[in-house]
Amino acid sequence: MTSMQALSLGRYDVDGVAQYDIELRNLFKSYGSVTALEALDLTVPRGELLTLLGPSGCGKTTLLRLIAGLLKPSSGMVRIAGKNVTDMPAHRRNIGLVFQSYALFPHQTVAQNVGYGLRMRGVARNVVAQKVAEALALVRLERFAERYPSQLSGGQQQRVALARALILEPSVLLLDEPFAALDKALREEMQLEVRELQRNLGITTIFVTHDQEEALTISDRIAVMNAGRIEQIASPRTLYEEPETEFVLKFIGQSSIFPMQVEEVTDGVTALRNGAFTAETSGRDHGFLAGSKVNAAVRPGKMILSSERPSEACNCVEGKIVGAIYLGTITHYHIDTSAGTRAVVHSQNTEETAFLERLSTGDRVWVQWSPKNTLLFPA
Amino acid sequence: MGAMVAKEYASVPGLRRRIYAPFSEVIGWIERRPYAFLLLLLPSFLFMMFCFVLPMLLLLRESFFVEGDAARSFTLAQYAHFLGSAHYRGVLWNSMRLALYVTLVALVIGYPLAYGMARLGGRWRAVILVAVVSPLMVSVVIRTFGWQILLRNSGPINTTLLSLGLIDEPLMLLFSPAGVVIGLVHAYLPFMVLPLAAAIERINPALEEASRTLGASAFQLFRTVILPLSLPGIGAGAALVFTASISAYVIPMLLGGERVQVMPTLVTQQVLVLLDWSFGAAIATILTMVTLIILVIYGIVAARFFQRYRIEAK
Repeated sequence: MTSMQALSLGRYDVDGVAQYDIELRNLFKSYGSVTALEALDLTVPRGELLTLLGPSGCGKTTLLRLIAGLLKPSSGMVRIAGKNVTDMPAHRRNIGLVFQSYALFPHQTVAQNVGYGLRMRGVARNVVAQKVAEALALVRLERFAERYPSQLSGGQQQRVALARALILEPSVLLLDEPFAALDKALREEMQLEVRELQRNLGITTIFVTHDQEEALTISDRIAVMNAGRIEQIASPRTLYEEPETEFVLKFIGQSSIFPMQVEEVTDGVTALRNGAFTAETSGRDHGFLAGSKVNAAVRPGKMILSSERPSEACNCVEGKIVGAIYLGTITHYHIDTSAGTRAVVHSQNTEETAFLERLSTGDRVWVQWSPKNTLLFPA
Repeated sequence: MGAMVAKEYASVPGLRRRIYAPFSEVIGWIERRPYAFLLLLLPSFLFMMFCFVLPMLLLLRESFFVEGDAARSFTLAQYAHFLGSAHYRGVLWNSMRLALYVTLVALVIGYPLAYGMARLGGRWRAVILVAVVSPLMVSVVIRTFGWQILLRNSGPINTTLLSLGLIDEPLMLLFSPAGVVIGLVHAYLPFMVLPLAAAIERINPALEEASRTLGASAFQLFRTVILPLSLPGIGAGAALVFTASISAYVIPMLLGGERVQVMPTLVTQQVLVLLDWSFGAAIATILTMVTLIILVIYGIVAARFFQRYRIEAK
């Protein structure tokens, strides 16, 4: 699906050479002695929506501002649409930037706000009026042209900010936590709307957020950032299923983490042990040597519960139910395992798991998972 | 309520109870009356009444008499005398023009300083603040004598310009309107910079970034975003500087001398030299009224303007 779409959006030109709308090479940014970005490489193909996800202070906003030209990198190169813009000031870069605070001009009407960029370029008045009408139609705000920003709701203001950016047909669209100030329902509506708009226009977009759910909802790819570096850049599914670092594992979704020791590695199967149980992992070859200490992690949806020990040779550990949260289609169980780890299990409410309803806090259960769903990280 | 308060204080042990006891009735009395807090305004109210409003009214009354008239009959003769004289009208016009120049120069010099103060970080902000406020820390007389030395024909400004060959004879800076404007701008610059800096600080920096990324040059950014949004600060600063300048006395006297007559020097002359209290009072009243009228008109125009631009004058 993603690759089909990529082709239809012309991600590759006739020679098969990748076309990147954004290309960052070996980018450094420091403020005095504090390093905000370190040796950062990033390429974004045409038409992709890439999300920069990370905790506050991870450098994601710094990175966005470097691309926008509002900051200068300490070293490294920024290319936009194939052109080296490292030394080009913001007002020459033709990028669309949308802010968390909307940043609409309070003394201008919606129409004046949207037409601002064209007026700054000296475009004829009747052309501006026509394009403003088109841009407002794009975000369904035709009726609000003569209002002032203070007379609009948060969602409407952000749509004006979008129209104001898109009217210039920018090479890239940069969104800096655009929906952080909106309530949940409106935020979800805006996410879908922006995603649809972005797909239809085929505009290369970078989206900054600290909200993992938003990142998973909206992105083609997500770059998880931490302390000025990109920890992993991949599709939402890959990030969740195959996190490369423990930071990514913990930042996106929940997991149960067991501290263990590698027993031996044979034919891609890693045997693990801790005081309470043994386990095996398969799938990705992690390259751990026997004797090394590791953290074995399992996602909540990859574990199943049973009242008896499933079999002698399984990835399983006994535990005591400490909490159950019923959520309709699934139930979240919190289980204190004999290995000392509190496991979180998301169990589908089906015929097979009906027995769990009869269990209550303090009852003993077995937690089981498959070797291929065991994720290993150095301890 | 009063009983409750009394009981409450009765529970305070020992010495404190004995201290509070006589006041418990008073505290209770105040708490029973929701507007009793207005009592707190009483000291400042009395001060303003006796030290400001009353003298102003006495001054106003004095302006309706003629000095030496034993009958003390009410007359508008003083006002007719002032308005009928081309010389006095000229002094009024002179005062207004001078105050306007001071306001404009202070705005042009003060705007970059205010912008720097609002947008630069800690240390630079402090440096500008101290530099701008410094004139307020030196006595006006000492400061103005300093300007006399700088501005006189043999002063450093003229000798420097002469030695550079930029002028052939000394510029008439001291005892000229130019000297007065320089002295007044120096004195009242803080009144322009501080409200202006406060207004600029309230402009969301993201608006500047938005303007830049939308393709605005530095000048376009200033013209379309910063200037209109800082209008409330310009309004407040200009009103303060204008009012202070038009009523300034020491600086016009020391830097303007005989050649630059303004309303306050005229008042002093009438009252202290000619001992004509009534005419002095009339001139003072005219100055006050003119200033007030200008400020009211200015306020109405400014309010219209802010409304048009949807600016909240906070």
